[in-house]
Amino acid sequence: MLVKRFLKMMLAALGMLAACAGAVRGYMVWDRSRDKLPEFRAPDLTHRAPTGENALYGINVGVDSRASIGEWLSRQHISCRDTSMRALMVAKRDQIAGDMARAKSRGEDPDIVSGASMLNYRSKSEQNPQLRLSCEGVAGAALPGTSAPTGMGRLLIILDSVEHPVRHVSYAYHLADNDQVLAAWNQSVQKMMRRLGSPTSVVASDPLSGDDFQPGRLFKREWLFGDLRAEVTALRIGRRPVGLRETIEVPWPVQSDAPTLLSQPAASARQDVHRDNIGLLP
Amino acid sequence: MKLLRTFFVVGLNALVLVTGCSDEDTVTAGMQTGNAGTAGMGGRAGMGGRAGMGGTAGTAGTPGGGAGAGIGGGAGAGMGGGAGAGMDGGAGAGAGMDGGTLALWQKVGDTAGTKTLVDAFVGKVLVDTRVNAFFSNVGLDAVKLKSCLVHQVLAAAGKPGETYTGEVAATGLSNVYDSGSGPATVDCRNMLTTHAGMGISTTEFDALVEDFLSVVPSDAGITAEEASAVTAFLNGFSDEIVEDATNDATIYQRLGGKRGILTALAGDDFLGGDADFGAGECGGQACFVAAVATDATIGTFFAGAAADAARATRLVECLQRQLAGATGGPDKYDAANGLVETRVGGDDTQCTSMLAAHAGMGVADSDFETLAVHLVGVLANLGVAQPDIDVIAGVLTGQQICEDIVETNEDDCATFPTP
Repeated sequence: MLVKRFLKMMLAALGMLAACAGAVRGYMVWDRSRDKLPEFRAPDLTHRAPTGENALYGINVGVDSRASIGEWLSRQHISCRDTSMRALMVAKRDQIAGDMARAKSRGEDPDIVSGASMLNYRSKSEQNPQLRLSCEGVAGAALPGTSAPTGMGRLLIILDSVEHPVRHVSYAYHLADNDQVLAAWNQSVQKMMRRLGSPTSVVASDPLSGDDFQPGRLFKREWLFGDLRAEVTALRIGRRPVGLRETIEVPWPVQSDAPTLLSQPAASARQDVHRDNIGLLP
Repeated sequence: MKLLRTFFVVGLNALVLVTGCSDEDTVTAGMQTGNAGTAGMGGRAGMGGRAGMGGTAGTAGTPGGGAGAGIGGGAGAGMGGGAGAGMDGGAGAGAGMDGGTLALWQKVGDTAGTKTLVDAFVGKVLVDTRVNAFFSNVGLDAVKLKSCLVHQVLAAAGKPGETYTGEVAATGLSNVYDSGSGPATVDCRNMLTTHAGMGISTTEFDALVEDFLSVVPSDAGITAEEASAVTAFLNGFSDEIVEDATNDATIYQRLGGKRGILTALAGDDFLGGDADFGAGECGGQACFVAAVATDATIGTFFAGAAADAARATRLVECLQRQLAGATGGPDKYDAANGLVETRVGGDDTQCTSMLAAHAGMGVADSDFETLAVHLVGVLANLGVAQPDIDVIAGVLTGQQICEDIVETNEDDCATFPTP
């Protein structure tokens, strides 16, 4: 009798334990599926960038939304894909789910698919709702106001989430001809100086000729304000053509609507675009 | 903690560095210095070399070109004076400095006390970023290292019968850390052999001496003269140990050794400072980890480390090891030294390979170049010479590393340097 009662109690305890474990696991999965933004801070408004100089190639940093970026990309005939950690994980899970479905249709055990356990796994990094639109193989000529009409490279556009305005725009490209490199560098730097004044930090003095772009020599100009940051870099690595990059962004971790903070708050409809974004932009 | 444990295990062998026995002279300073008593441990009487530490009394012994025997002892010129006595006037006949009171080896507590001293020294060294890189690789025999140190200290302190001073190698010494499962005896190499090829700089040697002196108990009744003699004894090994007298023989040294590399990576974060990854601490600009973590284009790859202290530590330690190994530092970055394909059980001492660490991240060659820009930029901001930057950039942005990291446009890696 006593033994029976003891066994019953044990079974009940085990059941409760299992229920608790399930609840904890469920909470963890649910928690990992929530958005968790990094902690942003307000800009130093006493040190603002010149008004209206927050655009690069016609994309307004701190202003343009995901929707307006889509329109801009369509106009320029540029395709991008979301390379955020969340999008990559979603894509990976979609691929695994497809593999498992195919295995099942062949009468095989779907669990033999490599990485099958990932289907229910959510990594911490997926909680970041960032959109990282990576547009590879973009010709410089496709970018209004470019300093590199003959360049070919990657346009990168980053938003903290679909609800946030554009945080970052950059174009990283390569040029093989030293004279073209020098011309592009000078044009980029002069363009930024006309808009933002003298750079706030400098790495390496001005190149005098294309031959100055030797492997391992970094040329960098930065303009840093409370609400905006711009940068031009050039670096040759090994036998590569010289890599150049133009950037305009809201400095991390300043809130991405900083350039318009006093005029109007940024807002847009919330939706899960990570799955939709892959390969579908514009 | 795990890192410390690794350092500890690895480090013990390296402590042989400091212990040193010599090959040529047998360690019996006393034999050379005097008749009556044992000589101080390091006393290299008759060779004009260093002073020993704690030499027990002896007769006048041969003075040798310089200091004579035992810390104080020997050559009739020992601190303790007296009839050729060593400073502490121990077992030997002569009167030591303390006039028959405790000898130095007794003051430190004989074997048990010396083990405590050595343990403290090892502990100190293993957390001292000026020198602990020399103890961070596997292959060091901790028990042997510490045993040799104990024998060396005891000999230097003048304990009768202890002959291993570091001048010459000694075999068959008792393993004072024997727990029953290890060997009963240890063989201790001399200082010169032990440190050959390590590229130890003057700065690093001085740090080791400083670490040792800092753990000598202040309440053991050690006199100022004895302390001074201990310092002289330790400094006397510089010729055997130091290979880079001007601290600039390798890029590693020119970067400032491990501390310099840690600074480039994360400012003062791992040097007792704040935990901001070196924001604004590299020539007024962000150090490497701060730079990449706050770069909107690649920061997401580092977000995990930025939000987790243990992961951040592992990231910096692994990068440090990689950078040091590539610049002539003592750290090795290979499968035997914490570099693994898959970390086991969250072991924070393990560095995953570049390939494993970046799998599935979708890193593009543009991202890889961005990393290179940050690396070169930080080095430039720190005033590193351009030829050194060229070498570092060439190694750390090489084709193989690129292929391991980059998943988008991987073919472009063929144009990265081949070291």
